Amino acid sequence: MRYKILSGLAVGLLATVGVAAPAQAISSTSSDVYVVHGIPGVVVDVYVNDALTLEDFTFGAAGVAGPLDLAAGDYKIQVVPAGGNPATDSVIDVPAAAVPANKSVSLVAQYDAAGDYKLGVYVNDISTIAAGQGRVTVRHAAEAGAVAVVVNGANPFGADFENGEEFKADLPVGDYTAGVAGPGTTTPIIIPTSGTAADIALAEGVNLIVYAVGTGDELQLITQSISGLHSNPGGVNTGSAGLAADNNPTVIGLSIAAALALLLVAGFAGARVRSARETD
Amino acid sequence: MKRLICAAAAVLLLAGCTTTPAVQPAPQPTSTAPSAAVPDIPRSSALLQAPREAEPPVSVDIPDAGISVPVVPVGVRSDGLMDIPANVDVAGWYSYGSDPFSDTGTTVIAAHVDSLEYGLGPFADLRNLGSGAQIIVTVSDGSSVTYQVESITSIPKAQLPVNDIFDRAGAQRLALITCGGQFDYDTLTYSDNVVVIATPVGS
Repeated sequence: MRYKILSGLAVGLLATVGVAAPAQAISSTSSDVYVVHGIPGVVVDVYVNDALTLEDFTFGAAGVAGPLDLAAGDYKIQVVPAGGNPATDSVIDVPAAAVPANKSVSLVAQYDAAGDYKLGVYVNDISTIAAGQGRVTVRHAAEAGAVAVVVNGANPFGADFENGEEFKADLPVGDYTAGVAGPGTTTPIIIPTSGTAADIALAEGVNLIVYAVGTGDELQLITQSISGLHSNPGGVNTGSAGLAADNNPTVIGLSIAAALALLLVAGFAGARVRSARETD
Repeated sequence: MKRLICAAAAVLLLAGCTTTPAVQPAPQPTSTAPSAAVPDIPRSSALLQAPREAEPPVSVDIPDAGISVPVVPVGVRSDGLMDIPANVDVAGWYSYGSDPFSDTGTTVIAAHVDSLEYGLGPFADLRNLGSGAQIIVTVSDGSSVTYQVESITSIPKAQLPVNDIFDRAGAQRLALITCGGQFDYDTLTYSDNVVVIATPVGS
């Protein structure tokens, strides 16, 4: 039975501080929608269903917008150079972009393989990530043919990918180098410097989405990260001798002699004890 | 796992605590709410950024109880339970969660209450702390945060509300965890977790 040993000024125990609202507002009828600027060098306005929704949207340091909580359905998406008229100046004009329910979606203003602008629609994997790991998602959103993803000098996916495709993997947290190389090769051709991979620190419980954007001779990496996908330990098992137990036959300040006796028992059943400790 | 969460939720309800509803009411979809004003949509950087460096706790001091234990970073075991240093005189900080200088969340530090090899540990005294007792957590660069005890609760292990205790998004607080309650001499395990919740002094 749960019981309070001590309750101070505050009333409850664990919920006194409250749990923060979830980062996502995803529901069975709506999705989180991000808009990612993946066209270097231009400033744009984004219209959603004819309403100006993002004004002066720039590439880079403020190049990820959202999340928007959008009801599932079709949305008219238009991207125009900043200040332009969506009726006449759209560089991207999608009459009915389908937003599903209960997903995290990234809409990316990007190049297609031939160098035309397009709206890339990607569903982000926001499933829970095992403790100690982060998720890397790599997306090809550049004017380029097939490329290889290079992580720590090798292609972990074993295949090249085309414009509009993605790879993802859950990896232990830590520092990696990553880049994009020509098909079948492992020498990065992308910034920060051609021939040098980017240093990526993968954080726990985060889906780090890396986009290769730009044009063939000027590829760049941009990122979007979705956090809060971590899992928690299943429990905390912190004792194995009974010395502090309520049902301890002796008093709590147990004598060293008794502890030694337990140690003797442990000696006989050592293997069993260790196995119990590992699995409990 | 699911049962665990249900049980924990039930306990919270019984305890009269309130939780924020998981699902927020959805704002009007843009499709039906065109407006002259451009909505204020948060924008973040698309540039590659290094995540914040953790500030690992290196010691926990509770002067009132004469407790002073070193702390090492730990993760999870292959069975999903929090890893705990074998030595009862050393506590483990859950290194994937918040640390005392994180903007949000709970710093979780746990230690074995006892072991057949090491005997009774200092965390056995946690249950005797008084309200407002000060707990000082020092991190690797020598700076520290002082907390005061807000509550101490014994919770059946299977009902430990891990999603709440290991919270990363709520207010800053400290959770010290060890074991207590009844001891099962067959499985060599305790029935309960003893959980000390403390909040930063001056917050």
